[in-house]
Amino acid sequence: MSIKKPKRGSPALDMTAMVDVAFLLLTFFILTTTKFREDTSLQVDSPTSISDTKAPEKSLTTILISDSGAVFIGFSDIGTREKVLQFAQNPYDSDPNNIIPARVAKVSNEAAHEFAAVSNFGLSFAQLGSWLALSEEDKKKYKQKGVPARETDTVAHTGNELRDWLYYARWADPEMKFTVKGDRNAPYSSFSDVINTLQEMKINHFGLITGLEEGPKGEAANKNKEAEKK
Amino acid sequence: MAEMVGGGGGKKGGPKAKKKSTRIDMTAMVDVAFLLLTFFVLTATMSNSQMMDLTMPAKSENPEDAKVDVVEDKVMTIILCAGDTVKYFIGITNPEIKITNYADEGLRKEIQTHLNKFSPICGEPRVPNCWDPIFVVKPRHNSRYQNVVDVLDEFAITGAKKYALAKFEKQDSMTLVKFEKPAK
Repeated sequence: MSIKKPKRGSPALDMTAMVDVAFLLLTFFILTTTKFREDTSLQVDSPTSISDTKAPEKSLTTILISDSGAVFIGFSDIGTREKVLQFAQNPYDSDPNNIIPARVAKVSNEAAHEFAAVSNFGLSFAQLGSWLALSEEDKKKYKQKGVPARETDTVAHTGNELRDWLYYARWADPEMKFTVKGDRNAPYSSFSDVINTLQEMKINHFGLITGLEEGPKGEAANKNKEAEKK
Repeated sequence: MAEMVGGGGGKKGGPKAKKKSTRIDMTAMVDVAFLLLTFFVLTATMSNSQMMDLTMPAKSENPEDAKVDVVEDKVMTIILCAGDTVKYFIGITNPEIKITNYADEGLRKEIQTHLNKFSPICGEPRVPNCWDPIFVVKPRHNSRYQNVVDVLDEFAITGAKKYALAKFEKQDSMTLVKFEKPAK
């Protein structure tokens, strides 16, 4: 009658090592995270280069070019975003001598806050007001066609609105730096529009955002490095 | 220590205190740790992006201001075409137009050859006032953005100092038509 029940193994297992690793990783990510990823309305696959200059994190205006050639613009600082929208709504408040007329219809404070949370957008002045009034879901569904960046935009029938945004951005932050982040397949014509606009605003020094690529280890590269040292 | 004094050497002879297991149930803690870990892994943007500096000449009202005297032989014109091909030629009068691509042995080699042609004259260390060869990049409207970045990158790799990004004008397409050898 002595039926021995098989001994049940304890379900507890030693998790000490796992916990150690988990907390180590957790600490690493907490400490290295400086900025959380923001919602973006545009995915850009930027080309790679051997340049290893880091792009600045603050006071940065990024002009994005999608693979279809639509131009988007984004400002790095939330404060700048608020100011820029204010200028767009009523430039006279900030400077009586400003000759650029108000371009965006007045929006509610709520909408202005929502605008400050947007990392980049590709809308004309006319579209922006109505877009801000949309609900969160509708905003995501809305197909953004880009900021008009040509002197006479034949599609949107507007002037060069990118130039105005750059003007506001400089006004909002005198330290503003400018970068262009284009998609690999972005047509050159769009890039040329952006360059022309930047030059027109006398922004002659700007950065091109690129992914990192390892330089060649050949003779040419070494020669170049030596030359730089000198 | 104080207990020991009070107990009067209770450890000896007295009933052994029941040893409690040192194991703690860590399940909940592990759950939280992994939850946080997942959150940070997913939201973290890793290192900042790299950028390449580009300086364009100031736009001038008077086109005469922008004129620079150059020696024809030093100018290499690089035309970026559709389908990731590059046409290039040296000089302006009667140029010989060649076609290459963006591979390591393609455009980079040509740029390097052109640079090397003048380095014996200017020497190492460089003679002041000895002009580096000049590269003019003219992207056609149907080339893509990557092509421009690739060419600028080649300049950085080869150490070419003087280059300019220019507009592809009608005159350039005339040059192409006039001097390009018909494909066999």
